[in-house]
Amino acid sequence: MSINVEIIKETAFRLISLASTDLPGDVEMALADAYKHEDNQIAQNQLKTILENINLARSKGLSICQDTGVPMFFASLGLKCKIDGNPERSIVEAVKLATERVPLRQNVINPLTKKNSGTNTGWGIPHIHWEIDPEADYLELTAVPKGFGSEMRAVQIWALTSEDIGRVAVKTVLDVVESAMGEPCPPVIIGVGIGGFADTSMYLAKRALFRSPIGKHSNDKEAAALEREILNAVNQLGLGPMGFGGKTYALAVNVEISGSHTAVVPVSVIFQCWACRYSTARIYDNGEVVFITHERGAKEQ
Amino acid sequence: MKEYDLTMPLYEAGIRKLRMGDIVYYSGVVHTMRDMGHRRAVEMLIRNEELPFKQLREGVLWHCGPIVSFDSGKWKIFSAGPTTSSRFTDLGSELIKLCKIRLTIGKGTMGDKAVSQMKETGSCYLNSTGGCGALYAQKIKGVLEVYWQDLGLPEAIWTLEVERLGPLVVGIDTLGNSIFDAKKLEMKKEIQKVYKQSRLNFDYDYFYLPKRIPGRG
Repeated sequence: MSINVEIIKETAFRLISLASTDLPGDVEMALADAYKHEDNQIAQNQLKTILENINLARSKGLSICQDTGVPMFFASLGLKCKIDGNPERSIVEAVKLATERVPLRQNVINPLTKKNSGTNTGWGIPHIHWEIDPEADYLELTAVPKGFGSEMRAVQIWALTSEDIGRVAVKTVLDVVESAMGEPCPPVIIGVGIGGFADTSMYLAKRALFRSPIGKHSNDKEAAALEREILNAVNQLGLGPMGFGGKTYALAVNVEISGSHTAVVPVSVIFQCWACRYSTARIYDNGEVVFITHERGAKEQ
Repeated sequence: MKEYDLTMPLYEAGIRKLRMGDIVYYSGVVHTMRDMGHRRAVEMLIRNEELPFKQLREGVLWHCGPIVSFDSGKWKIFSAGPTTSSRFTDLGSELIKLCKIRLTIGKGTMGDKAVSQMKETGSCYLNSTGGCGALYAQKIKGVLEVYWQDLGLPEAIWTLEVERLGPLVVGIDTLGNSIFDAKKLEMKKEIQKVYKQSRLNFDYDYFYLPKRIPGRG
């Protein structure tokens, strides 16, 4: 048996569509909880508008936010399954189809000529982060339409190991929050990657944004303590939803660590706006497709 | 805090009555504009060329790039919400000066240059809630015209008819008040406490930055 590339294309299309128009249940719940938790009217109004928008987008099948990002996928390929063709080509086709049919905003340009391809593909896009899973008999795909208002607030710094790296991480996040304020569309999720290399550290931070369920802490004791400390510190600043004031600037702070060099340690910080859009499915070797983040999955095709 | 229903035409005297924190609903024509559109518009005006969208003069600018689709001979808007406004502080201020733009709608805020230009021209900045593209798209009654499609559809200038677009919060008024500047001041007090709790020093560089080394060097 093997996975048919047509099924990959259909599933990738469905994932982009679901992710763009409907939030994972835990993210929506966290926003609803924040609404209950806020006692200032401006903060409540912002969250009320956000929750109304989420409902409307879902019921009408519209994109939650007009910034549907630059197409990006996390893909994990089980070594116990085969694919009968080129999966990357299927994902490119799915992005073109979704751009036309969801529809998505035509966001992708050549960075130097600024020519817009009109299809959200080209120059290496869609970007697919490939991983392998030696034990799995499925391909797991996650579509991530992430707006660039939050992406553009990513920062990476290098810390000396003569310092307390935890303090450096707190300071880095505070600096970014102080300058970003309401612009990355809070309540945000903050991803922090500590250690590794320049590239893997930022990847850790980005991957951390989609930790599920939202609010789950790291298994690493020190990292979990840092998550709690940074979350409290950031919310204490009183910026609140959209930066107009309130208790909820961040819904979660997720820290991931990786082994690092004995001299210097990279610390990467990235934001996810409240519209934390992603959708995951597993395509099994026998052709079965299981939607993980959106239970209604394939039903409304 | 007052609530206003504004319609075209917008007069300077009326705009000068708005105060930071007031709520505005706007009905009439808006023009979307993003980075490349700002650059082209300002360059044309500096060359003394006229902009093809004449209603922008004393009109309304929206920092927005909508999701659109052309179907049965008509443009349809699916999702349209604000984009980060600080990007347009420089070029946006030029446009306010050159076109006397009365209202600018976006998210976040515009910097000092815009605050002083708005004071001089009689122009306000209105905040909408970021990420709510599905909701704001419901307030769009139609696409009147689209200009500069060669910039790509998000960067094109979409002239739209909107009905009661809002609720919008006056973020910068003509007295030079800015919600985000006020928040920044409040935050300064709070951040002292946060630094203390987190055992951080103000006068210490914790990391390498371009042209900086860590420590007190």
